[in-house]
Amino acid sequence: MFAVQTTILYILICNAMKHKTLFQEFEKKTFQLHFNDGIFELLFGGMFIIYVINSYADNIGRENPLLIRLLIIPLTLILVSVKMFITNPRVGYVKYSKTRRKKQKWLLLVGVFAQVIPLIAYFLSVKGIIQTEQKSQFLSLFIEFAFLIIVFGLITFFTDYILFFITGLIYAFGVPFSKFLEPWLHTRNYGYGLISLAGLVFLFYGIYKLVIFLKKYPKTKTDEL
Amino acid sequence: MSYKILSDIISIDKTIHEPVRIAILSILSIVEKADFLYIKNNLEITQGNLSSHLNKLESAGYIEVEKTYKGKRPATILRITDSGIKNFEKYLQIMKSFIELSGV
Repeated sequence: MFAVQTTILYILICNAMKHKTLFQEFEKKTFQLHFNDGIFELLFGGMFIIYVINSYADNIGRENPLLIRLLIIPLTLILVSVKMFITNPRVGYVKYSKTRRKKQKWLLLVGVFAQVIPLIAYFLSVKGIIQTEQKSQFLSLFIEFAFLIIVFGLITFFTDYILFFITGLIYAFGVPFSKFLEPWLHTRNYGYGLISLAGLVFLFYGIYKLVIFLKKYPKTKTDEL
Repeated sequence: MSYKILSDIISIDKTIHEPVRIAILSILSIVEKADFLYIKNNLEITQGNLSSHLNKLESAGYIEVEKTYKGKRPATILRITDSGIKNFEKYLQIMKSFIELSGV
């Protein structure tokens, strides 16, 4: 029995000794538990679909297409509520290490930065302080493309969850890159197609993950020892 | 030297030397504290099984168990002790030396 146990543990610890940061990898895995509920997939999927619907409405000349875009607010509120009151309680309580908590603080800063910078840029362009002439359009598209990749890349780095980077790539290629190609392709449909396809895939995958999560981690009345 | 390693292996801490308890100490060594539910979800074992292992670790003084409330619900918060960290590191060191001796 002792030999069997030692053999099993030997295999585990052998890998631990090969990879100095196994416990860091292990810590990432435990942190991933918070992403198993599919909420982020549902959020990004919903946002992509809303964006495509909004763009279509804008193209057909529908008045006040911005109202469609504002649907992102109730979508976000609903999914955040689901995360806080339904899925997170099923994961359990944990206070992560100082390293992980530091990463979470940086993540918050990146999130704030990602909201504030575009608002400032929009304000400056409306006021005419930033000129958006034809010759600088490509530069502004490049900046938008790079901004998306960098912001979502940083979010991925701090959360160790690749979905954020994939979302950033889809958004970057679907929006500023398709605008960049428009003078040659004479259409932005490929961008809309990419985003709507990604949106549908994310939505279905998010629903699947949520169903599996709720089955795997049922509500417990007590977590007593 | 190799005889010392073998004698260390024979007298290894059997409280730690059990797959579930190694996993519990591994999780608690990478977080500051966690509740019973979080550990159970990560290990995917039954409540009874986890309770039995936690009791053994608590009796050995390797973990601290704090019973509290989250709102109206009772909650069990777990934390590895200094003795737990020290003995877990010692255990890993012995296993590492043994593996190195094996030449694999």
